[in-house]
Amino acid sequence: MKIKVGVIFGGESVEHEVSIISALQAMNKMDQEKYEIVPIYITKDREWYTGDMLRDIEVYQDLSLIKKYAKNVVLYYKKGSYILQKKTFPKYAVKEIDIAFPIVHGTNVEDGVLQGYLQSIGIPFVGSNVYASVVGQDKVYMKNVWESCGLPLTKYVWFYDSEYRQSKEEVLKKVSTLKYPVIVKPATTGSSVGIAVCDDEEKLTEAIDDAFQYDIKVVVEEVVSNLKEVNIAVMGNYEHQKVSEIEEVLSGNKFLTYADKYIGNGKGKLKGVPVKGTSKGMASANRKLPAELSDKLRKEVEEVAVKAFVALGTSGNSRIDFLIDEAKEKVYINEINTIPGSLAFYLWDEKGIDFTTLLDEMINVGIKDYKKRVGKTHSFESNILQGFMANGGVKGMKGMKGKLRK
Amino acid sequence: MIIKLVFCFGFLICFLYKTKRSLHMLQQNLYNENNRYLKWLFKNFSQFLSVDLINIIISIAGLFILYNFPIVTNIFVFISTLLLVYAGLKYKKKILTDQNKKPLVITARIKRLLVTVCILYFIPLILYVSGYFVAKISWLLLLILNLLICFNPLIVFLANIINFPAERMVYHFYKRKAKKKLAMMNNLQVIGITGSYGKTSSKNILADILNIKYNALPTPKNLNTYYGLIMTVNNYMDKFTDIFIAEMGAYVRGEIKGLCQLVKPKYGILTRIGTAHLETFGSEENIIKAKFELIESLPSDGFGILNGDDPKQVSYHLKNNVKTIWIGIYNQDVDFLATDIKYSNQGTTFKILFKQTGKEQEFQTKLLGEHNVYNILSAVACGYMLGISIEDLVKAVKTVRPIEHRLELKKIGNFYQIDDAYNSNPIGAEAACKILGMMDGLKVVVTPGMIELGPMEYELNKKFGEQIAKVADYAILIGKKRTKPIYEGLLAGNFDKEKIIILNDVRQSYTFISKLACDELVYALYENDLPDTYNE
Repeated sequence: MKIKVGVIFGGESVEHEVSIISALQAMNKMDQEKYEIVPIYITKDREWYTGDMLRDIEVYQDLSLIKKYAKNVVLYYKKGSYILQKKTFPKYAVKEIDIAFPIVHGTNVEDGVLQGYLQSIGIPFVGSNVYASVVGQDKVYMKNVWESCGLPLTKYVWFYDSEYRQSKEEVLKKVSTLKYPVIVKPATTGSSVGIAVCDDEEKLTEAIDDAFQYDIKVVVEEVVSNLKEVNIAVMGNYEHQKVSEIEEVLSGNKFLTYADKYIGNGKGKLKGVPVKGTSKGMASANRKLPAELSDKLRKEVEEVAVKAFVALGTSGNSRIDFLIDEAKEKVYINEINTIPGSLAFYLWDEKGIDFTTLLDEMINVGIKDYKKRVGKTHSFESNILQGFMANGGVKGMKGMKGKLRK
Repeated sequence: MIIKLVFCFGFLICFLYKTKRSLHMLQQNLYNENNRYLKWLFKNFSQFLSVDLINIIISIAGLFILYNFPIVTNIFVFISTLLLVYAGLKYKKKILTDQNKKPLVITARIKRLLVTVCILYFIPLILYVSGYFVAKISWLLLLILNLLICFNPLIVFLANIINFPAERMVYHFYKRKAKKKLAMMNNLQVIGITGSYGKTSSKNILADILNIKYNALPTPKNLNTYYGLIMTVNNYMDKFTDIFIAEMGAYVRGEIKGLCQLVKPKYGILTRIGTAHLETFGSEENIIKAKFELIESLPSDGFGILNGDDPKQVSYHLKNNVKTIWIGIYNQDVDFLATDIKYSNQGTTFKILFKQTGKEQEFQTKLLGEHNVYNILSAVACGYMLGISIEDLVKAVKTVRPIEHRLELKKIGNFYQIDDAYNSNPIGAEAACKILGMMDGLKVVVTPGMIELGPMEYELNKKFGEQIAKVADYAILIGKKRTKPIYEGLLAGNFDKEKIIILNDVRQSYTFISKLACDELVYALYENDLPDTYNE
């Protein structure tokens, strides 16, 4: 009896294509002895499809093929099982799944929206729950939570577009508490779109205007000098965590500006000009693994990463990105990816955990989270001593006796 | 007619409470497995000698003398009704004091029994109330009804016999279902745990430790019978379960072998072999052989984890060739050796030497006591053999939860309770006393003593009294008659007579201890919580 894993990918997101690649990689590496893989593809117009053909990269070049040959389905709960039922006549159950494995990136899917649906119908699923996914997508929420936990962050301010429209001066005054150069980011956009580094106020307003095209909320942060960018993955849940190897992200060209470094890999959007690709960093990205770091910095990155992971209540396997000021030997936490591109498997390889094991462990964590959620405890039923406790200890004794006499 | 309805009302009240109690006792005595219920009935024969007898005398008198006098008949039936109501309310009170500890669980089986009991009672009752018989027959029916109510525990027992064939069918249905399910779980590995004591602790600790990597399902609570395993497989096991930890209990030889045939364990853990349930086993040799049924049922590619500090295990000659892994604290020649054990109010720290690699690693746990070190040792050995890294094992041991009512340290009102209320045995009791002795403060022991220890029961309880005398400042004994050997043990240990308090109900002890509180911290060890059937 294999465990049926529904791998959900795609979705209405700018990182739709990256998600397809991540999911196909994962499905190829999943233990076929233990798991039966059910691919579930969400198109950009939010239609769900299933069928073994979806495991082949070629079909994605022509969407009409999918519409023609794959089954258009809806996932729901029926009589104790989770069913992919065909949407059109005849409406039969195409497949049944035991656990969902979302491998999706970006807004509308990775940000808790999909997780909310899964949790509503009650299916066990891999990865972060709704809360962690939401906070892990919104750079402002994320920073707020980490700040309150005392984790090291670069100085930042944030504001809504309405604030900016109403009194531009106030907002710019707020930004002026930061030291230039600063970097402007839309708060929730998944990929690197709308990100720009600014050296002065003129460029700043230009960048803010641009960022508001993508989001109603914008964050402006101080730029780290003598920058070294490193990434680390953390796996587990709030109870147990382990950390991966640390990678160093190299900029493609030494002569590129700060912006390129932030955007990473020379891909993304350079000062409002869209560039193809994303910062999700596939395994082919330009990187050094393991990163060249002193033991002290390495330890700090690992510790902060675990704290950041736990602070958000993240679950599964997340990649956390850091900015390091090499001269000052200072570590700043940049952001978290609750579902990283390629599931950051290349970071675990170095620790002796291959992709297959990684997927197995992620599914395991998902099952554990589910069991916690449904509250399956295996403890004793209450007896006199517990009744005593529940009634407020010694003081409660009289009350309890009274109750018994009723 | 009216008087008949009034009688019917009184009858139902009495019937309700007496039946509830009888069913409860039947359930506690495992539905008369090994004639436990009959033994209990025999021990508590005096319960039949109550006001119900007066009712029977009235009925007999009615049958032979009073049937000619309708008015006198009515008066006597009324008196009979009052007596029934009185008896019913007496039982209601009795149930309330009993049921706190381990209440009657309304299972499907109890419901079926209740139906049978109702049929047995309601036929004569309906005949009596609705029938227009001559007075003599009415009195005869009344006599039958009164007899039924007086011997309610026997009628419930009769219902149990009547239901027996149906119960067998239900049992076989669930057994087949469980077997089918187990056969389908091809990724499942089964670990069996048995021993005279420490099974439940060991099982829960093992589950906590294995769960760092696996999705282990331990048998819930202390379900350890054949039926318990079937229930666990049917109701608790799901597709995600990759390890099933089956606690296996036994009262007689061959029982564990039967359990092994059901769940087919690949790995086995033997905790410690003692003298628990000696009465039902017959001899110590039988106990040892019974426990080794688990290890001898294992396949050759499995392993059995044995305790190197238990002479009964070391000297046993295994009849199969399963790989054995030894754990120990005192015996140096073991595969997993615990050293440097240190206790504190916070818990226990110790080192484990992994013989295979020669590596030594420190572990820390919130749990108290040497027996828990054994439990953790066997769990660590098992986890290590199943491929969990030492690093993860250290983490897992740290997060092992204390088990309820098994040396669980908790604060209650203004004192600390060391709750060891669940099942007791001489070794466990001695260990609990030792731990209490390490606490810094005023020490109290609350106990009703130990049972089912065979011919040594008196001696062992007396010894327990002596151990209490060594460490405690106060001893609270529950039940005067039962605790006599402990009382004598305490006196033999020169314990101050003034500081021995004898109570009838464990609940009274809380009030007493809460009044003891002074500048010092108060630690109260609650040792052994007996099933209700031994209350009298």
